[in-house]
Amino acid sequence: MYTDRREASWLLILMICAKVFFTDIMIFIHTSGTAAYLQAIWCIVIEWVLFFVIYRLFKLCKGNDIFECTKLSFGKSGLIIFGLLLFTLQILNLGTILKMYSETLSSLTLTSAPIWFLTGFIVLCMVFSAYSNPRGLMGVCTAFGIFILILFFMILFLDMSHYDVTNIFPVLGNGWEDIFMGIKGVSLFNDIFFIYYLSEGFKDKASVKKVGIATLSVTSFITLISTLCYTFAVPYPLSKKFYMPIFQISSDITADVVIQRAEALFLVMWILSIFIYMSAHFYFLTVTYQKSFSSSDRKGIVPISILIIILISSIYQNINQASPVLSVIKDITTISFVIIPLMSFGVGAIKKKREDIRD
Amino acid sequence: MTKKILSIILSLLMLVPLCACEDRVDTDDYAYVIAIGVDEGEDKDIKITFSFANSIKIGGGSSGGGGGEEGEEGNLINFTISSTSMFTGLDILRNNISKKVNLSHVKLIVFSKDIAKKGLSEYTDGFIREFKIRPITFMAVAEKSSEDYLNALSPLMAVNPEKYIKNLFSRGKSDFGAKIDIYTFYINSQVDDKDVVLPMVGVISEKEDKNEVTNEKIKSDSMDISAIPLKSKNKATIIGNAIFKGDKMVDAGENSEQLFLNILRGVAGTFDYTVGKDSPDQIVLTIIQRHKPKVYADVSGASPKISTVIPLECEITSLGEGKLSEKDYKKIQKMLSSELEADLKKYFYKISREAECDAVGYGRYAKMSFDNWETWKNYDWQKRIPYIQYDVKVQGGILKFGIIDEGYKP
Repeated sequence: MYTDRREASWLLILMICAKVFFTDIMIFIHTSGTAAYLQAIWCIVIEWVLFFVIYRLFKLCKGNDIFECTKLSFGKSGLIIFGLLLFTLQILNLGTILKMYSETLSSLTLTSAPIWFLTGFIVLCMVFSAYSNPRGLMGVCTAFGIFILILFFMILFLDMSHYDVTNIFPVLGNGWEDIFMGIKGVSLFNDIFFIYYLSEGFKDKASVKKVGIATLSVTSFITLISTLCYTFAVPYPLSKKFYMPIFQISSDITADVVIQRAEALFLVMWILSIFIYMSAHFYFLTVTYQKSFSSSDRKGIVPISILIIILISSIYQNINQASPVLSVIKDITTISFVIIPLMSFGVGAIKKKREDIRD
Repeated sequence: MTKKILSIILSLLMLVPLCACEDRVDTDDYAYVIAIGVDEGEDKDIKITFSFANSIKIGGGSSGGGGGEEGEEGNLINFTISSTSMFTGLDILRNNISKKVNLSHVKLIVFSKDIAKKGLSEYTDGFIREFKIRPITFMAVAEKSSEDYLNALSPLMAVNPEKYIKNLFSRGKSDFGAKIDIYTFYINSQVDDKDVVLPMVGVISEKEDKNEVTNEKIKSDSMDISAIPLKSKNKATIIGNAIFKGDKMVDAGENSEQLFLNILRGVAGTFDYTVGKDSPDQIVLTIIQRHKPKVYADVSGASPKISTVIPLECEITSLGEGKLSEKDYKKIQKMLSSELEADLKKYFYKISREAECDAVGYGRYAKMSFDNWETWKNYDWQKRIPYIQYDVKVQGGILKFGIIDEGYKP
């Protein structure tokens, strides 16, 4: 299946932006305080380095995507083990985040609607994306991407009157150590890993680099500007209290009688992004299943996966129960999404080099 | 083909719940609260006054008073109830009025002085969490009772009471009242590098309502609003400022002091100031503050040193009966600098040494000298406020002289 570079970039950008718009930049605030933007820069640098290292190894590897490379490196049993790990992490992540999104949506919008009503919409979207052609999802991302980013920058721009530059002082926030040890923030960019799912459809391997650079450039800028603007708008330590930073910025907007309380802008942007996020993640879950277990039918796993995801989400009573679990899942996912490609591509590159020497 | 038709039918069916019209409410089924007053009640209860917009009167196009005139309904209708909290009070209120109470148009929340002294964070915390009230709703403190203020509130020359309150309390429309909304109050009450000032409102009693203007009553430059005789149907007015430390009110100030606070913060905009108050050479200057003051904070010693330079642009408005002319503009500039500096210093020492507050927000500048949050916390800025050594320099340049120049020769 041919994958357009631009569409792939937009898909990955919106998957990462969905996390930025939600609550993921709070990790910088909680760790580094007023120096949250410094920690964001540090995490961005690390992510760029990781991407180029992994890409370099991927380029040297024989396979066209992560599954082929894993199979070539570790054989079929290695592929199954990696596949199981990825599948488990993805399904746990989806179940937990479904709960968080549904609860948050209910708090912000349809407060009197039952949670299952909102969960149903998200689940329906996930099912549609799994059964339909992934080009459709990527097309939606390309169509809505610019619109979402325009709304995002509008929110940041409209709240400029409330920005206070002195809120970034003290310069080092909670200290140098907390900034450097705060590399957990790299979890924000976990979804760049799925570029190695889509790489099979690219024209050549160099496209992976171009898509990666485009994705990381846009998401790095958005992450940094969100963190900075939130720090300007809400002073520390009060900034730790709010749950969704971009929502808080939008709530503060006052442009006289023309625009007041622009939460609607945020809601349109965020709801679009979370639907895209969940749909894309579920699609990649089915791909993980298909490729890891060499199944001919990707869609066979959809009903049972949906059921498991819904059951996982119903385990948690509320967001406070789901949040610490999500944090642990994110940490494990981050480590896995770094180690798995490093190992697969690394061993694959070594094997290819040996073959070339033998030839 | 069948699949396509089924997909279209399914899509159309899914569109139906999206419009969410099941819980729709018509506009005239709502009762719009414009202002809320909170006073201390009996035991642990609070007395809440809800000021509703009288849509029938407003729709008729008449301007008129609030509940002030007996037997006649104005543009505002007030209800006062006792309850444990504001939101439970609404439940009691719903048993009395047929319409659905709508808080999204609340423009003003007034707290009595007693409640303000105990602390407002329990109320502002609820407002920030709650979506019914907008974060840009103004806040004020009532000198005596917020119920009396809202009962006396009588919007004049305004049909829409919401607009009246908004214009009265928003920035730029009144130089002598602080303009603070819930969100700003909440933020400033939660941080330790800045304190907040709210407008204080009150009701002019019959004693102060004179029929004649007498010179003894009016002080020439203090602009003490409560001393100015008012013959007005609307007895409710802004009478001063309430100074807060954190979320608790600690002191009160005059109306004129708000101007000095605005100058120190750099948001005074355009205002008039009289120099040469104690001499026959009284000159009225129109001053424009275009730039924020430059602030230098030195926290190396035990007492913080704050120095600020305030650039101002001036225009001569009135020369008075003295011997000074436009040609003496350098002398006038010097008079402005010395008198305004003295006023600003006196005001700053009042709020820092008496009220122990950092209403200007110099803590934000002091914070810049620290590397990390720990050292800033250990410095304990709030305890050092009364010991600040303060220096202020006013750089007032007279740039405009108006259209009259007695010495001009073509």
